[in-house]
Amino acid sequence: MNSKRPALLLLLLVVAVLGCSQGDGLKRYRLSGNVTYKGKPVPAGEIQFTPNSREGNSGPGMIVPIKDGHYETAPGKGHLGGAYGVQIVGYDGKANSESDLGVSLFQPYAKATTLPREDSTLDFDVSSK
Amino acid sequence: MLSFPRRRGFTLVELLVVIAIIGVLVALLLPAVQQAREAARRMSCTNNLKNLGLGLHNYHDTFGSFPAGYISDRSTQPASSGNCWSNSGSNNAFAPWTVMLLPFLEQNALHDKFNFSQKFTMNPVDGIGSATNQAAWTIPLKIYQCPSDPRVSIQPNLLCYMGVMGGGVWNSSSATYRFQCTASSDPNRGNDTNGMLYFHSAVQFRDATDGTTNVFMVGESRYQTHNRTDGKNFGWASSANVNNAWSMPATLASAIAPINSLPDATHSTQSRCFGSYHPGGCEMLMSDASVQFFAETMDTQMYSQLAIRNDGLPVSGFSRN
Repeated sequence: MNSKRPALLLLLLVVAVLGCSQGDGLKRYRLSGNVTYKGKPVPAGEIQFTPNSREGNSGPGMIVPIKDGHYETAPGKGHLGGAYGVQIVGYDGKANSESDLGVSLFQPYAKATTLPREDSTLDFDVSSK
Repeated sequence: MLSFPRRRGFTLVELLVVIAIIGVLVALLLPAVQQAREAARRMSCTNNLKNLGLGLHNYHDTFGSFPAGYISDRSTQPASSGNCWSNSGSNNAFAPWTVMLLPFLEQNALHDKFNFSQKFTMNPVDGIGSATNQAAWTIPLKIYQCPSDPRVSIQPNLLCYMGVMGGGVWNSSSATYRFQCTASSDPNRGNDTNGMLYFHSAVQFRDATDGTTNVFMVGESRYQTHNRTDGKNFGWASSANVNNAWSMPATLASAIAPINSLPDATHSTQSRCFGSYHPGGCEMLMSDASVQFFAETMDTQMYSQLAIRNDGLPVSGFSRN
């Protein structure tokens, strides 16, 4: 019994170390919120968050899907904080023969914003430009 | 005084310890083996891209310019803003660059199977080409497929490398580059004309004023539509949709959405994003026929600027290996 326990501990340690080698080395923060258009939730679409490197905030952008008016960054895929540009594309969600998302609701919505370096929420109202 | 010669065996505990140690060693080894296999597949993929680059250079040597991204009987270039085309006018699409390049990939026989005066297939459901061209469309071609891409088993004639039609137009409030013109029903489909291969293009080396080392020509893509149940799937010989409502090329993409940022391969994603099944990024063929690996964590504006052949903006600070 005494010699088995250290071996099992070693095994667990190795598995734990091997299992945690994910991640891209960037400090990322979660973001979620609601997207409305003319007072109603946007049925389908996506938000693109891009760090504005022309304002000194360089880094990879990300694209978050909108479902029934809500969006949320995937685990490990959050933003980096700082000066960001936001672009929203919304669809009516009524699948047609060409696209499952339906037809575009509005011209792509654009907004510059500064994201905090912490987990946060941010809502968008597309109709108020 | 009596000594019994006892056979010394292993106790259960010792046996378990040995098994545990072997287990640990195998657990360490297996990922290394998988990584070696992936490294070999990536090398093979790099080789495909390199050959496409040499083929494109030979095309340029022969005809004096790189091939057109795709050909259509539309008489006008895509608009510089708004919708790419109006509803009126002819909208048949013909050969894409992937077919015009065939003689320079030692595929003369396959090249001769196409009839270049007839319509080309976009997908077999809407935009089917002539019978001759549809038959040739279904033939798989290995050089256009990355060995790491598992989707080939679903769509055998899939294209894993998209020509780069540009990087879009800068929009300061969204801090993104956008398509210069879009389909009227979907802003995520469109055309650009500031890359190396686009609608009716005849770009020459001298047009890449940013320097051919700093301009994308072809990139890895995992976004060509392959799994629609209604059959609206694409292949390496697909032409383009030049309608007003849903216009998009099928073998070209703009560097607008960050590398690997989109989850699915659909009609709305295939012409604006690059990506691969290699971990961490994708291979891009530069216009000087070198192949570079770009990390998905690279700056998004830099990525779009690298796709534009003549924006004059500095490109530095990204990691290439």
